[in-house]
Parts: sequence; C-alpha cells; structure tokens
Amino acid sequence: MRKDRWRLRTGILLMFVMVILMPAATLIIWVFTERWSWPDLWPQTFSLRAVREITGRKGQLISLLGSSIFISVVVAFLSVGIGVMTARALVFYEFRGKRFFHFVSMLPFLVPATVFAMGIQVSFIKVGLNNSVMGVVIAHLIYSLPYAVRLLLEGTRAVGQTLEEQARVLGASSGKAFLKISFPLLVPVMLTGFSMAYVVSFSQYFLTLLIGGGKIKTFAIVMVPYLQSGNRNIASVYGGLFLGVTLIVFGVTERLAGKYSKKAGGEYYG
Amino acid sequence: MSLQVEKLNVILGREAILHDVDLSVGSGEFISLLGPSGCGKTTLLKSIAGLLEPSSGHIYIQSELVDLVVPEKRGAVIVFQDLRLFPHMTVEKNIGFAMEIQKIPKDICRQVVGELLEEVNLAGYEKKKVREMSGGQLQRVALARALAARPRVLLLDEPFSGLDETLRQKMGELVRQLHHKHHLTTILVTHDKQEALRLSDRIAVMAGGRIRQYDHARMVFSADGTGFTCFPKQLEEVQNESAKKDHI
Repeated sequence: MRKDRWRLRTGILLMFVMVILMPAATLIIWVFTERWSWPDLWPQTFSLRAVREITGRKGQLISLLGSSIFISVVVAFLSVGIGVMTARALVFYEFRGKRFFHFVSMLPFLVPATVFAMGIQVSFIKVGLNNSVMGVVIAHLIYSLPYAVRLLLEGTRAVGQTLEEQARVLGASSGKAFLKISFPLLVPVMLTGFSMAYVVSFSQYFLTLLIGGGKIKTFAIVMVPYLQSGNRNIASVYGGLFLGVTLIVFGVTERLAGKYSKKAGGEYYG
Repeated sequence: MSLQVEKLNVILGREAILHDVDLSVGSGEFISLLGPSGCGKTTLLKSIAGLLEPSSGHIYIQSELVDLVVPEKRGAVIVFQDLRLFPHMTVEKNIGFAMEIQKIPKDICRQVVGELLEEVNLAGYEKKKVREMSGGQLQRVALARALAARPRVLLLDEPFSGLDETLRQKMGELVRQLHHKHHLTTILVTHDKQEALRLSDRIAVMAGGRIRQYDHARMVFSADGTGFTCFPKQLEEVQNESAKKDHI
C-alpha cells in the first residue's frame, strides 16, 4: 500500500518535471545555443549571440518591457476593480436577469480568442478604438475579466456580508464597512485575481495584433515572429524574459496574498 | 432609551416572517424574546437595527421615528450569535472599531478599551488576536465592542448559545451587571426559559412571527414555572424547544 502510494507520488512528480520543468529548461538552454540539431540530445554549439543582440537593443527592450507591463498592469487593476463590483452584485443582490448576467460575465471563457478578436475588431474600428493602447486594454480586459470575476466570486462568497453588517451597526457607513472590513479580507483573493488577469493580458498575441494593428508592441507581438521564423535563440531570450517577468509578478502577488491571508487569521482561504 | 415597535411586518423573499409585531421597551428595561427557532426573533432584532427593511410598521427609538434611518445612525447595536469579531484585527482594534469610526482620539480610545476589558474581566488582552482566544473570551470581547459603540439599544441575539451551563450563567450575570452600569435598554433573544426568567424584567414570547404574550417574567410562566399562562396550544412548540434545550 505504502509502496503503491510512493510510486504514484513519484509518477506525478516525474510527469510534472516532464510537462513543466523540461520545456522551461530547454528554453533556458536555447538562450545560449547557436546550433542544436536533431538527433543530438545536447547542443552542438553554444553562444551568447542572441543575448548580446537583444541587450544591444537596450532602449527598445526597456520600452517594450515598459509598454507590455503597463498594459497588463492597467488591465489587471481594472479586472480586479470591476471583478469586485461584479462579484458583490452577483453574490449579495437579487435582480432580474442575474443568471443571464452571470453567464455573460463568463462568456469570454467559452468564445475562442480568434473569433472574439475578429468580432470586436469591427466594432472597435467603428468607434475608433483600433490601433490604440486603450483599444488593446479594453480587449484584454474583456478577456481577462472572467478569471478575476470567477476568483472574486468565491472570495466574496467566503467573506460574506455578515461582518459588514456588524460594522454597520457599530457605526460604519456602507463604504467604510467595505473598506475597513471586507476589503482587507478580500486582498489575498484580489491579488490572485490580479496576477491571473496580468498573465492573461501579458500573453495575448492575436488580440493585441488585431486590435493594436501592429502599432502596439508587446512582448508577445515581438516574440512570436521569431518563433515562426525559426530564430529560436532570439525567441528564447524573449521567452525567458517573458517567463521571468511572469514569475516575478506571480511570486510577489502570491507572497503578499499569503501575508494578508495570515493577517486575516487564515479563516477564509485556508 | 425607550424602544417602540408598532405593527411591524417583514417579508423576506415571498415569505412573511413577522406579522403585526408590537413591542414596547422602557428606558433601562431588560427584556427577553423567547421562542423556537424560525419564529422571527432574529428578524425582529435585525429590523430594529435597520439591517432589514420592514414591509410596513414603524420603529421608534427614544420616541424618534427611525424607519428611514440607516443602521449606522440608529444606535441599535447587535451582538450576534456568531459574534462576528473582525478576524484581521486585534482585541483592541475590535473593541475600538466604533470609536475609530467616530474619529475619537487614539489615547481616549485606548483608555476606554482598557476600561471595558476590565469590566468584562479581560484586562491585558488588548494585543491578543481573535483566533488566540476561547469561546467565552470571544463573547466578552463582542460584548465590550458593542458597549464601546455606546448603544441606545443593545440587542443580544443568543450570544451565549455555544457556552456550557456554568459559563452561560456567568455571562448572563455579567450582561445584567453591565446593563445596569451603562444604563442600557437591552433585548435578549434566547431559547432558554430559565435564562429569560433570571435576567429579564419582561419576557415577550414569540411564535409564528407574532408576539403571543408580553408581560413581566413572573406573569408569563404559570405558578409552577413549567408552562405559559396564555395560548397554551400555540406555544406548545416553544415549551418543547425550551425543554429540549434544558435536557441538553
């Protein structure tokens, strides 16, 4: 019995290594590889050419990094803000069409990005939002909102309204009751929602390309053509940076979420 | 501070919970609402505190009509059965919450918290976290927090329900003591007949969303102390509930 459990655990661990760590390790190796052809298991030639080429374009890299992070941070903030309000409306209030509204808020989960992008591009051209940062932010927002809403729905349900009720009878207005009681308790789930929305926005290629019309440059927009043209080492440097930025955002938000969750007594999120 | 409830009707969803409830509590009086689960006791407290909107009827606190007054301005503070202490705050912050909202200077706040903690026999617990305390201690903190808000009416929604008999009696005594000391007008919701008898000036017996009897404690129960003096049939369920509770 114990042996079976050990085998299962080892199997899952190996699968995890194969599925997640192996590709990540390959990506890192490709950053320093000049030539790696089949059937060799190890690169034939190493070089720092790709790293030098990209660090040589420092200004361009910083501006690219800045615009990508800016768009994703704005999208993540808006997702969390709108997500909190949507979650509160869906959890605490009864109104006509509530179920339909809930379904609509989850719709971007069901509609493929390509279909959505083509549909929304036409609408954005009509209202003059195409080829603009605002257009890209709105398109990313629509796509990342369901992730934030889904998480915040659960968080809002867990925190409930009872503590706010208590705060109200103790003299707090509804706004203060939310800010002083529910908000600090929701911070861990808000941070998780923030990082999810950030990652969804940061990795959008097709939406950014179509709505931004190639004028709005993000990491994904610059990285994908290198991948398609077979310039793997350059694409891997971008990929490594992409992975690094994402991991930093995830790490920081998860650490903060853990800290806040502990401060809240760990009652709501385990 | 007196409290007057007139012809109060509350409908939740499509279900009528309270039917024409009339209740009058004099200034400084301690009354108990006694009745089985689901008879509308908590709904009545929440309506008085402004957390539920009645479909008709009126509520007066100190002769002032408060129907349209928001909960934070009514001065009716509830201590709920589940206590609802704020888990991200220390004992001091919990008790000082109402004063912080009123922007009372911090040093005065600290002094009042210290005094209240002494009154509930928890001196020195200011910096404790809520999760580090026992059930009885948490109940005392919840009580101190309600007192810190200087309530016009104190509403206690079965706050001793999770405690053993000895602790329950001690808490009852403490509440009665604080009621006198702070000149409060108090409504206690309870299932426990003995508790209602021990603590209250008057008892309102509730069943099916109505107040069936409201009188001085000695008048509500029959001479042998086992039954109610009026509506024996309608109140059979109340008695059974109390008996069950006593047995437990």
